[in-house]
Amino acid sequence: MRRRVIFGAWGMLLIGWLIHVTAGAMLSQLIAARVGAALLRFAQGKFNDPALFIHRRVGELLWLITLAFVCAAMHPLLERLIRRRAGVGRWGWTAHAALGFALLNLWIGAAGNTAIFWGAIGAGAGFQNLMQFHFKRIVFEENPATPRAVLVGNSQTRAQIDERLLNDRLGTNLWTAELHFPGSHAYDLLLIERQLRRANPQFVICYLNESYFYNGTAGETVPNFFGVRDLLGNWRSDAARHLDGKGVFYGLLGDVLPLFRYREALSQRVLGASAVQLKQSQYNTALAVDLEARALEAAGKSRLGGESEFQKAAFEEFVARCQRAGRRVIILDGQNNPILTRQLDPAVRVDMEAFLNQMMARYSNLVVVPGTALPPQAAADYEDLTHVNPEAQSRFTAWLAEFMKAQLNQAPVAPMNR
Amino acid sequence: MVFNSLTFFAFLAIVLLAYYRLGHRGQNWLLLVASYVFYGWWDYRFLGLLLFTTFFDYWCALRLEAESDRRRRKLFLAFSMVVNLGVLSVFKYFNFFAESLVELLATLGMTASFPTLNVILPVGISFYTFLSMSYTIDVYRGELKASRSPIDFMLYVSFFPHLVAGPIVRASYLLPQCRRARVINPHEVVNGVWLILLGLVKKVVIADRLAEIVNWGFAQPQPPFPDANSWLILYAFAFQVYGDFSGYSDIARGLSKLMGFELVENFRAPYLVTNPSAYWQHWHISLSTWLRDYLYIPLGGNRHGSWRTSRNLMITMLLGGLWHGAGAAYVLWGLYHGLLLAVHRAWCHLIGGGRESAGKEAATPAGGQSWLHKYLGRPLLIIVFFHFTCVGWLLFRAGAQPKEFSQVKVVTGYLHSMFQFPLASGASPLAGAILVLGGLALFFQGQHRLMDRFSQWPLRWQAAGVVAALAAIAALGVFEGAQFIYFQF
Repeated sequence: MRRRVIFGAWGMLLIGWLIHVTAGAMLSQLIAARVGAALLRFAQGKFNDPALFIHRRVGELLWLITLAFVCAAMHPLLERLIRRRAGVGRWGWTAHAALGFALLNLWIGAAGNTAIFWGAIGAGAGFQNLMQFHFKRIVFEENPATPRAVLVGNSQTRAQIDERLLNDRLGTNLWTAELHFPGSHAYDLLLIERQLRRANPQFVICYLNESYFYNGTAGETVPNFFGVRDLLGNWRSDAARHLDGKGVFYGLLGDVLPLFRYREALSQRVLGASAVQLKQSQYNTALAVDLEARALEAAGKSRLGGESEFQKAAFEEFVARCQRAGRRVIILDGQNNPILTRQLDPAVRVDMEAFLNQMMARYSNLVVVPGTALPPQAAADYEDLTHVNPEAQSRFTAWLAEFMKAQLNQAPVAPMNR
Repeated sequence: MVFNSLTFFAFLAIVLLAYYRLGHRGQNWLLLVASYVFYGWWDYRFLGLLLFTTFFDYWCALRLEAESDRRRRKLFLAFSMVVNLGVLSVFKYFNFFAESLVELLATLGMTASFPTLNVILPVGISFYTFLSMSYTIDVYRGELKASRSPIDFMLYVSFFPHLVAGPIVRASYLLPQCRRARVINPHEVVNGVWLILLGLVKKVVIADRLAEIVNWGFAQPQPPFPDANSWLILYAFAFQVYGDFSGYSDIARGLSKLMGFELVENFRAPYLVTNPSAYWQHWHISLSTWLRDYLYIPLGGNRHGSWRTSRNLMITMLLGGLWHGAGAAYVLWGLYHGLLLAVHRAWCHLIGGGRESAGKEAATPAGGQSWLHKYLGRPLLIIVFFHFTCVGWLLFRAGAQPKEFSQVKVVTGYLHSMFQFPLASGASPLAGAILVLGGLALFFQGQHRLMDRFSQWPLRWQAAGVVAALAAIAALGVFEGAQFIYFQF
């Protein structure tokens, strides 16, 4: 009986694959003809080809089921091998459990590279940064449009630029995906860069301000993206001094155990967004309503020093890597709410602009748009100290669309040997 | 150093590596040093206090045993009690009593001012003081021989798995284990590993996740809340306390098993009982039996009629409440449970025709089930009593409110909104999380016997259990290194 069930399941899976390979594209077209419009509305501009989206998701589903079957089949074989080799005896359950946990992580790690997994995590459970990031990254990777651009950086990039509007304006000339991660600093751009390799966008756009270099290193990017490769290959001597040790440890642990890395997203799925995001909502409500007071506090954290030098070096490495990959980096030398700008040490802005000019002279793939060339923004355009309101966002996005049209006429950056 | 931290696991690995290579005396020395390091990690300044309590009771017990004169023996016991409770009072209760007295005098129209002490509460002081006191009392009663070895006795008091949050293990139980050479039983080691994992699930998944909801709920200016109702927050707190404290006890028991020790079970299935008497036989068992043996029975227990029994119950529970914390809310919590016990006892007396039945799962009059049990059924009784427990938890949680919140306002605000039945206004978005985590807590309670016999499970179930526990910790755990609630006691 058990054998029959196993053979039946494998047989069904095989039939599924056969149908997917032979008639999957056609079936996806048929489904898209019925539900495509609704899907596009639901996706809010994350992709533009519903048939392709459906086809890929079915493929991912089959892949994850196959992998689960393979893991289930491998588990007893490997376990027997370990028991025979190591002679674990009474501790046999440890081999069983360790293998089970390793295979579970393997499966979760593979699932983390599928949009269907992130979609399932997010559907009905609300917004979660890592979930949004990976879902959009994966969907972006499969978009055949060229050239393509990504918007990276912290929440200010997201607040400033509306990817949907940008895609509406630029049509098929340039497809853009917004892949911001909250609280990003310059070093974090370096970590995000690795995530862009499969998608290989031709443009990387970032709305950048002083917080990238002069406002510490604490944030959510390191625990979510730092990995063993960053430790072995790209570890800078001063990183240990400036990066939060706990964040680095969480990053490394997450790299080995995807279940741990995706814990917030999974918790949100299991327990609901309201329960998991209570701390954040408490933090938000505890923020001072008085913007002047907040500006004073934020400005107090900005400083020149070893930490800013570390961030600058990381930024240079980011630009250099993009150059090697043939990507143009467009830095929009951004603004803040004038309330904050008034409080910031002018020396910080001077230092940042000098650094960016230096970088532009050194790297041909770097385009820095000075703040004076950007559409001006008044205090009334801001919802808080750094995030603009939807009207200002639309204005800025329209300007960026025109700017990017001019950029598309430039000769592409030639990739260099790595 | 808390059990749910990496530092602790590194510390444990070092201790265990050395422990398994040493002989019995060496093991005791190692555990003693490790226990003092463990305690000193939090605040080395209080090591002196721990040493003082230990040596004082060691000396008292020796003198008690050597003394044949009854009066002098009593005097020594009284001396021991006064010093132990004096130390506890200075560090834990002095400010509370001084402030309460000032307030009392103020209500009588008099003004007075007392100096208050600016000291922090030493972690686990209530636990090790009670542990040490019980030893002296047992020696006085002749139930235990005084320990000749200061090392064994020091280890008994400071043994790091139980030092800061129990269980309060009697000397007659643990001291012999310190004295004799321990045999490492592989089955028990396996059970120990499982109990540690289980304890971590209870702590970082159930308790710390629910703590976020509870802290949010009690940080609101006043209930009812727009997104949740008071009952839900109290359910969350009930399961949080269970996860936190029983998680700690499981880890403590698991650690002990790794070293060949056995600690007493501290929790069974406290939220699956039908009456207050059974509740105290399932919740924090080591404390309730301590209070029973060293307070309730010496007060007269149930030997002098129902009025005296009720009085004794109230006194015992009041002091039990005070043991938890120096605050009116804890006193009220104790009194509330005392009242529940007394009322339940009277009820049993009434329907049982005077037959002694309190403490059993339900009042059972001669020969059969009580009518309450018969008509309402056990599940309903469990649910009803759980809600009584939750009202008690409201008083308990109010005691932990920051100074800027009025405890009275918190309690009255909650009580007001609890009985408006706001569930009717729709499901709270937090209900799902509380249902999942509370369900997990109830599952562990329902299966507590099975959880203790991990080594007897079939191999595949063992593996599945461990994978599920690891996955739950990795995917749902909170890794902020949160303190255990009972550390403050």
